[in-house]
Amino acid sequence: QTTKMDIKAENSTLRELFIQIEEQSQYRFFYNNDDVDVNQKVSVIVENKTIGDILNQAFTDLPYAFTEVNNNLILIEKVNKNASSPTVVQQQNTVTGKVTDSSGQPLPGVTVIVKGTTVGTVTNGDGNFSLTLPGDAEILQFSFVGMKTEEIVIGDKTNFNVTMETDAIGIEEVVAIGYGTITKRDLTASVSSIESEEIVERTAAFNVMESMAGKVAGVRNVSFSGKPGGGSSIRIRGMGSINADSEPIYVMDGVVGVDPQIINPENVESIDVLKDAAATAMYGAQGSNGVVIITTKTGKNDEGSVTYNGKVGVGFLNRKVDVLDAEGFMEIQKRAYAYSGKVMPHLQNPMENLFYYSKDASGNFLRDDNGYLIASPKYDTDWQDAITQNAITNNHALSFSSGNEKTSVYASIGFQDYQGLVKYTYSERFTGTVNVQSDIKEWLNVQAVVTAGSHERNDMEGGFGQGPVRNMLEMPPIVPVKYEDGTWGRKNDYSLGETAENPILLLREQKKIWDENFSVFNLITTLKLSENLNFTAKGDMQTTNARNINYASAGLLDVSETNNGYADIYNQIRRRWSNEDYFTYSNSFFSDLLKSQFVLGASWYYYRSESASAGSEDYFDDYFEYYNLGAGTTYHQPSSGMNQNTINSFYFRMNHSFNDKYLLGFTFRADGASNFGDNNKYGYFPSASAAWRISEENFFEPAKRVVNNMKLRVSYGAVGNASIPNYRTISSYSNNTAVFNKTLQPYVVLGNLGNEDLKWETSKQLNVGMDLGFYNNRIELLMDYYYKSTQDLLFSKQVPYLTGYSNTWTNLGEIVNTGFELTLSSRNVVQRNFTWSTDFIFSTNKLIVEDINGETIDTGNNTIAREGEEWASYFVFNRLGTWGLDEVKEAAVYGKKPGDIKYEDVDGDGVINDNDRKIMGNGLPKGDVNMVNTFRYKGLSLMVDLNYRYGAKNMGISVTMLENRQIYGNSVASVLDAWRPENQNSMIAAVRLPSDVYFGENEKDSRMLYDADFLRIRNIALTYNLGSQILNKVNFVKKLAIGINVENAHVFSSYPGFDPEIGAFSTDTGQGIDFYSYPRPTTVSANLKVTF
Amino acid sequence: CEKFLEEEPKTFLSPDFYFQSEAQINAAVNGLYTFLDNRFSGMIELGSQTYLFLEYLPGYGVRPYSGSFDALNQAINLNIKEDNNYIEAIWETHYKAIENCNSVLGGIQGVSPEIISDDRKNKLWGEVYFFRAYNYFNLVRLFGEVPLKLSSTKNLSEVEQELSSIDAVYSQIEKDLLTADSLMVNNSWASVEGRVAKGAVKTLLAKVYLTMAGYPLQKGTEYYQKAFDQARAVVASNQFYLFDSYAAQRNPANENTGEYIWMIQRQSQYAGSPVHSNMLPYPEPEDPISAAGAYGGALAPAQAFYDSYAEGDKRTEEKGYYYTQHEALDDPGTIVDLGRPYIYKFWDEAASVSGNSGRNYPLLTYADVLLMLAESKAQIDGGSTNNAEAIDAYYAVRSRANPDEGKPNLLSVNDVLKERFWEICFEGQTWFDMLRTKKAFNVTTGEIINMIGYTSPLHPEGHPFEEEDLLFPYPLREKRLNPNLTRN
Repeated sequence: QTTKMDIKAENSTLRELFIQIEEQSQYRFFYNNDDVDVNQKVSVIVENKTIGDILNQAFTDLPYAFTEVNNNLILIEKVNKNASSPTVVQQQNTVTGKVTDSSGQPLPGVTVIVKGTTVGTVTNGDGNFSLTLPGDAEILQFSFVGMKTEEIVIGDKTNFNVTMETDAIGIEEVVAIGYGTITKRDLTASVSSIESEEIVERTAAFNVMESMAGKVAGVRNVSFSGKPGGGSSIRIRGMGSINADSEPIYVMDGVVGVDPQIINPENVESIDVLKDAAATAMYGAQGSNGVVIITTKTGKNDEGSVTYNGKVGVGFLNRKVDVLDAEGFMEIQKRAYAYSGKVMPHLQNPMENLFYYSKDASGNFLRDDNGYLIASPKYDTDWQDAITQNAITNNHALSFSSGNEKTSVYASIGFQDYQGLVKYTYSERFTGTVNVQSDIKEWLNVQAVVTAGSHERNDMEGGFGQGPVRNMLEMPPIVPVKYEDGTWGRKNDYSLGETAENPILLLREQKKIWDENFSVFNLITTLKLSENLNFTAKGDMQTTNARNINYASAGLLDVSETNNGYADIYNQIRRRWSNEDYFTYSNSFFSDLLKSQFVLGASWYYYRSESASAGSEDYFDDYFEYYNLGAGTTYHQPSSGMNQNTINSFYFRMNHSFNDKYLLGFTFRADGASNFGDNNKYGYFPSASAAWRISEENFFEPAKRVVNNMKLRVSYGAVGNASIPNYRTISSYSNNTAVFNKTLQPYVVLGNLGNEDLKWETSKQLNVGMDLGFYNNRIELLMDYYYKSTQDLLFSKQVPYLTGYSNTWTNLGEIVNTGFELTLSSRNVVQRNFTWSTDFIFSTNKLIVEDINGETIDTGNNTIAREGEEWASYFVFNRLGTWGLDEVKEAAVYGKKPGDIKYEDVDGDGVINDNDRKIMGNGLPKGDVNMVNTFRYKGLSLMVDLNYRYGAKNMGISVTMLENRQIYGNSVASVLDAWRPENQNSMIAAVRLPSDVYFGENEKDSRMLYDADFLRIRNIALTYNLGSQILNKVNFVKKLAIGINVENAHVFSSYPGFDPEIGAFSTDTGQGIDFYSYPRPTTVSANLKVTF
Repeated sequence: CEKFLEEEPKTFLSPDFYFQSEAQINAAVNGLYTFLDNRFSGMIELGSQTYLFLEYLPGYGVRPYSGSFDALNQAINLNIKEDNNYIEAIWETHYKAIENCNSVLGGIQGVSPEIISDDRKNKLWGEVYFFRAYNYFNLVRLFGEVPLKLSSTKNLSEVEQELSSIDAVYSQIEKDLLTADSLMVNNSWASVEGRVAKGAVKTLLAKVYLTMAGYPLQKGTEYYQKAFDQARAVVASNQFYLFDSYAAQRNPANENTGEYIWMIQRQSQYAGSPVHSNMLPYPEPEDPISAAGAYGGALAPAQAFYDSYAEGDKRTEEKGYYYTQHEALDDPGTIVDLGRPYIYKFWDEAASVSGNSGRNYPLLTYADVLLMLAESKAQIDGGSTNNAEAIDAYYAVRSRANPDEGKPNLLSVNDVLKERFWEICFEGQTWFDMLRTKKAFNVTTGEIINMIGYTSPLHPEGHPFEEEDLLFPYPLREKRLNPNLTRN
């Protein structure tokens, strides 16, 4: 209500006045046409006045009163009014008063109403008010945007001096920082928050990680594939570690280490991402990759509500890889045979299953001048179409919320069923949650949260051998899915094709199921020991029963041909419990000049998993699938295992706010972890942070009209990482059974070489940030710069095999992530019927290897780490092109001939070997831009979510292999540009048969590196919220919204694979590597949300 | 809290607390055998097991299934690069086996007689020395100079070990084998269990001496004599004999006996062998001949090599070492013509029905011993010999295949080498024979000729063996981790 307006309404109607106000502000007027005659004339000419002033003036002679109900909604009601007093009441009991904020400044525009009535007024420019009370008035309610609503019992008092406290909006918003909350105003660390509405915005998101994509600066969604039900993960401020896990830790309602996959985004109230060391140090050894704090919904203190949110959609393959059709395929075959001086086999002997042949009238084959048959392909199969499907997605959630002053309940059940883009793949998840909270005693609050559910998915990802995703590109188009006689087409049906089963048959008859049942039980008791001191004891227990099933029916080529089908079941039980006990003390000192908060506590974490597997093969009937392992006649060796680790921690935090201008924070945590050596079990992680609210300084006053908020933040601290496998400090034997004359005997061989000195990996992070608010926070700008140095990297280092080992875990060297983050939120247009807001997020990150003992580390897939270079840089030969016919001599130096690939001989020694590899970019993007524009017109809203990513290169192994190894399967269309005498300026070697020495050179070379920049229309959502006027008529429906959503609407990119945003092998070094990854669908869905 | 953070791994034992019982020692020695299995582990391509790699190098076998696996094609094209998967795998397996030997040797040393009797301990100890020698012998033949590492790894700072001379490596091999020989002095010659026994030690000694006498050390007569002595000792033991037919070679009951001095132990269910299916015809016949189908075509004799056998040689009789036709699996009455010869030597009748082969694979054979005896004597005697013992040994092998042929009066080295090409074919020995003799068998002329300059049937035309083809490059991974691995 601080919006000031200039109104010029001379002899205007009330309606015209209202419109003028609405155009200049966010206020909307609400009245009953029977009571209020908006055609009445008024005259108001004011400058720079608040709504209260304007309306008070306008209603001076009119029988109307106004109340701000909420959200800038002004309710106009008819009152019986004498000329002298604003309201006519039963008793002439007038009260007066003054409203000020906590610093003593008068607050104009505060709505003062008598609770339970519509009688009210607004404070004037000096914060004063005067109100005539009805006889039954008991309580005065003071409300103001950005302030906590105050209620004061009237009693005998006639004069009220009210101090209003700021409320959780804007900079006063509360953020969770672990073991407590803090207002944004008092925040000294770098924390980003996402609200529940944003989390459910993208209806096709599988999980909270996908929901978060593009919502937080410095948080990058790492998608490994588009398979249903997973494959996503996030990285906060780059990759914090090399071999130890780079996953952030997820904390759900205080439960540390929750699997984010089990959380139904529907149940999330807010997500807070802790980014800098000042914030994450509270989680010590587990915090170095950042912390994601998830707060789930609790019951609201209201009359209760039931909400249904349903989404139904369909996903399809929108971006295909440009592979050859039948004509192109035959052209390449023709060239290959011609180059190698051979004749295509189907022109010598008829292959009538694949080709039409020219015949004479009596059915004899016709031959051309060279004596070859005349044939044309029978089929032209689009295998990408054949293998993908219109994937139906279903997502339904029903939730109940209720509460009163003492107790609240929230319960929900959710069902998510997503078909995969690739046929026969799916993901199915059920979740249920109950969150009960009660003030059992004045000194005791208890909260219990139970979440349970199941998640099953069948994904046939990975084309390592001859998987379906691979063969959707490599199946020859001249082969049909099925022949007329019902037999399935295979890759090697035409000469020289690789041996591979029909991919659709494989998908149908093979299962790779991941199946989990999970539950999290969490009990939090808070004891109010005194006004300022709380003690919280928390216990939680997470259990997961996971199964992994591998099944194939009999007779699948290359899969189950010799074993008549097989089934393996791997079972794992995981248990995790923890106990947290901590004190929270908050108080203010020096007559409220200093406000302080302290947390002191300890925790114990325990994790244990046990697993067992069994399997068999040679089934006499496929009927059993994997439900009766005993029906197989050959048993697989059973196995079992156990894994356990523990962490014990002590922590302390204090936050101080001096005069609301100078903020100081300090945390310290000690963590002991079982998976480190005896001398290094404990690690110590301190952090300090400070902030200065410059906008609160007196000297800043002149600028405050424009810049209403300005805060400078600095923090520095150390955080650890302990995410390595267990038992790495102990040398181990691996054991199994060896055969001696057909009988089994036990054996052991050296396994892991233990490193007793193994210790924490430590990240030291400096963060400098600034928060800015312009024009009363109409534009908000947050900027952060960080320098994060990770030392004593936990690294599984390659050692020469002559040591007897392949790798050993060690602490090694230093990597540095630096980056800049910017978040800009702007409400561009704010009018009665139309608003437009923009959220713009920009982040950069650069990961440099600072020190690795001068070594060159092979980070896999032809990437290396070298000091001074970016982590996991591609290290490949530089393909210059092909040797021309005029370069016979030069080519011969390398044993090559015209038409062969020409590599850059970097050291010029006439041999292409390891010394000729060059660092040529890497798979990590340099920057990421997200822009969400939201337009609202009346009840209609349109959201467009764009994502632009730049600076990464993809290693498109799939695409390049499709170009190199032409004859074994289908190729990408670019292969048509291969070297020919008439087309010598080509990057692609002359097409030839595999018998040629330089057939399909498979070197990982620069040809495989593709620009991976892209602009993705990540999401478009159109929603219509039915207005309250309509809903009032159906009085049992509170809210109703319908919408249409397009996920992954389009990608603009030059990358020739399915999707430029890709990662293989689910590892960090696999980012940017495309190895037959599961394509990502475009999903169109409809959404209905209704609250009763 | 300290108790809370203790680790107690229940799923593995630690070498730091080991060698506490005979069963533990036994398990550690058993572990050494498992490194032999790695030659049966495949890469991502069908029929790409490591043992095949060594069969493509000599070039007398072909690969009917033309795979797309570059690393394998490098052997076929004699164009092996330093990042080849196979040479890395071979290097890895051998050095890991050696490290396990070093670790067991250290561990066994101080074990008290209360835990294990001296006899038992010496026997096991002998096996360990044998294995260290065996692994170094393979390494030095394939890579030349290699680092000689004789104690177990304690500290990973000692990773940059220097190359030892070929001479030094052979000295160590000889020393280890002689130690094994003396430790096993009371041991039996053969082991039905499939373990290393005295016969295997002496056979390997003979082979080591024969190799030392030849390339690259060329120690000459003195070492031919040593090879001859060791081979004679094996013959004199009377524990080994040639089976009277090639069918008997394939009889499962004969594994680990007779001419099989030492074999890789396989078992159909838990430790299957890929050999039977690798060598099936490709493309698979319309009427399958084996339930193991569809994986065939990894190795078949080059037609010219097959044709080089003497007419009537029983090894080229149907179902001798080769076959060109076979009964259909479902209908024994139907004879399936395979269109070309394939290898029958490793045919597993049981696997042809069940699909899973558990046939052992020969590592050291008596035929090899007999031919080594004959060859070394011929060398001692200046290129040919009339020594009866040598001629008898040669003739035992020769006459099994050609019973009508008379016993020669004079035997030349080349006669023996030729017989080795024919007899010990596709058993992983031919390439090593060629390396130590630098001789090849010209399939067209039927003569033993210089290897350098000859193009084997498999290799690309115009790509004869060159001096640089004789050694593998050091694996790229190892070179990066240990800069000492350079060859001048």
